[in-house]
Amino acid sequence: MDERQPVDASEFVYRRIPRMYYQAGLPVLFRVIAFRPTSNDDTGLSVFRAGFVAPADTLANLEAGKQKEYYVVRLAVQDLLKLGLTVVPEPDPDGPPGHAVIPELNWPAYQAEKARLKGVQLELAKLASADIVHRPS
Amino acid sequence: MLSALDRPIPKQDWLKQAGKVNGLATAPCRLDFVPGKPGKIADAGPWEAAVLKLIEFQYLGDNWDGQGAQAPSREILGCAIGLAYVLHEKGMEPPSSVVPGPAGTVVFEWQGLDGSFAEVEIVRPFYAEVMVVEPGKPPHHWTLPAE
Repeated sequence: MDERQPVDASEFVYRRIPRMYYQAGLPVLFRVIAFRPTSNDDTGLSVFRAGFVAPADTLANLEAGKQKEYYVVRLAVQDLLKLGLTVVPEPDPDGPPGHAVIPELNWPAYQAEKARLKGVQLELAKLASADIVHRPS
Repeated sequence: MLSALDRPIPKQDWLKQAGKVNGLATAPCRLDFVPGKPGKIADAGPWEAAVLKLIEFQYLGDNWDGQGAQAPSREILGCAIGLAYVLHEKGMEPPSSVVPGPAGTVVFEWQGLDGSFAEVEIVRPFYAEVMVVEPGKPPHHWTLPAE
């Protein structure tokens, strides 16, 4: 399969979330900030296409010590579409295969539409809480 | 659960609690607290755990997440601690979680079993963005402090 192929609605994507953003016992296990872009996210919020990489392998380009500090969650592209989000391939030759971005959550877009997108990010945190595919070791 | 957040927070109250005088920055005094030494944060009441966490964040370095996250500055942390004291004084219950944002911000988050949710993100000194979601209602957004 070609990483540059458009993302199909039937696909799943992975998102890496630092351990600090997880708290057991809460209705929503992950903090909303886990889905907030930074100024480095100029093309969109990073995800990995499940068809190209195993959950734990999405952590391969992080420092060894940091890899143990991450959760990986799975999101259905179909659910993202319902939230008005899309997934666009953005292969990274220096990182794990299957890199893609959610362009609607790029930094300039977030700055321009914070109120609406914070609500969307809350929905993403809820979806993530329901499908954890890798836990910190 | 979240009604105390609705009460206006004048900038003066926030400045006072963050250890500022007449708008001139001083060292955020409460950051100098050393965990293990009792007494200095006794007046934080149920917010004590949150304040302790904020104090610990001063030891986060840049790239704390391995993906280039910016550590919160001492000024932001001082403001976050000040806001914690203001909210405590106004009767707001402590947050469910307190975390650093990847862009150097600090976030307080509340969750209720009824699906209610609130987030206060201190995005720059003495400026915070608030989102409150109550079941069956659209999200409500505003900023702190009240002018």
